[in-house]
Amino acid sequence: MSRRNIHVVPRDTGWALRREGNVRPTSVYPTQKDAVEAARRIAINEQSEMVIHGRDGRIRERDSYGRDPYPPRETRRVLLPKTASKTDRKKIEKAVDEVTQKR
Amino acid sequence: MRLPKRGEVGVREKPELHPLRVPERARQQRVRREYGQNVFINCPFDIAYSPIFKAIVFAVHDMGFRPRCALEARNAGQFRLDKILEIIAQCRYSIHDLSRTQVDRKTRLPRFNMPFELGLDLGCKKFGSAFQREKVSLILDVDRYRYQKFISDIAGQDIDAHNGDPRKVIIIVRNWLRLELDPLKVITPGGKQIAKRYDQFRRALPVICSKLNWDTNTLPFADFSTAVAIWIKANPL
Repeated sequence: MSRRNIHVVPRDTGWALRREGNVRPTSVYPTQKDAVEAARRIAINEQSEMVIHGRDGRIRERDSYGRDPYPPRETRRVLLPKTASKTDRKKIEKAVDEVTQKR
Repeated sequence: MRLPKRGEVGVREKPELHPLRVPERARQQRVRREYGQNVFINCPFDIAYSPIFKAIVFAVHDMGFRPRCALEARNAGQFRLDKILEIIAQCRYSIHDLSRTQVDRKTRLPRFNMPFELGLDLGCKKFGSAFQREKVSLILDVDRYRYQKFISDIAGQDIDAHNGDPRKVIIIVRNWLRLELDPLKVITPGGKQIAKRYDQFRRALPVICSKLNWDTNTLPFADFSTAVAIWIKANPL
């Protein structure tokens, strides 16, 4: 399966999908929205990246659906202690929320 | 060639687990899963040391780990040493503070608990199971080279000195735990940021305690740790 990225590029007749490395477009759509939807389907299917260009030809946005070399980072988890407090957790949460909102 | 199916001659049947052993296996799986999240804190629990201990607990929580210590034993109706051994076995990470090794003014004797528990932890690392041999420890003291005079057997280990400063201990703990997290996958706060957040939490704690009818000065470990975790959740980075 091809893993080449799919680009959404402007054309005189609308918006075209062009595979990375190709000169000729794969398909042409009347609106950018249609082209993006089609490109997204292909990128998901092929686990590749969708690259959206603007009217000036510069890259405006990109979405990765495959092996993202720079996956979005997650914030660290917050773990509750092993030995639970004797006080109900919801009561503690309520007290903390009240203090946080007051600040 | 066709491989024989289960039940045919030449295939050993997988023994079924006794029903009573199923929860035990689930417990073991849970312990293994949580092993990499637990940090054993081996430190003094006296009032004078309390600011450092609380700062360590906060820093461990804010880095996404779970602090565990011998104070859990007070609630559990279990022999203290058994509980400590159980905690050591369940924690990949451990922080040992050897600050209180000087002679006590009243008893004229030093405190041996911390070096003893450090020894238990090092023993677990040396003689434990395969995953326990990957244990990682942080050893703290008030001065960097003082330990060489009273526990020279651990010479060669990196010891960090906090000089009794909670801010400094937060930065040491943060930098140590940071090495265990993948910087490309997890966003963690910086040392100064955690110290700032800890100051905010310290200011909020008396109000939280008054709302819950808790005594700020005699707060049990479970209550303090739970309050820290919930405050961090309510105040994201």
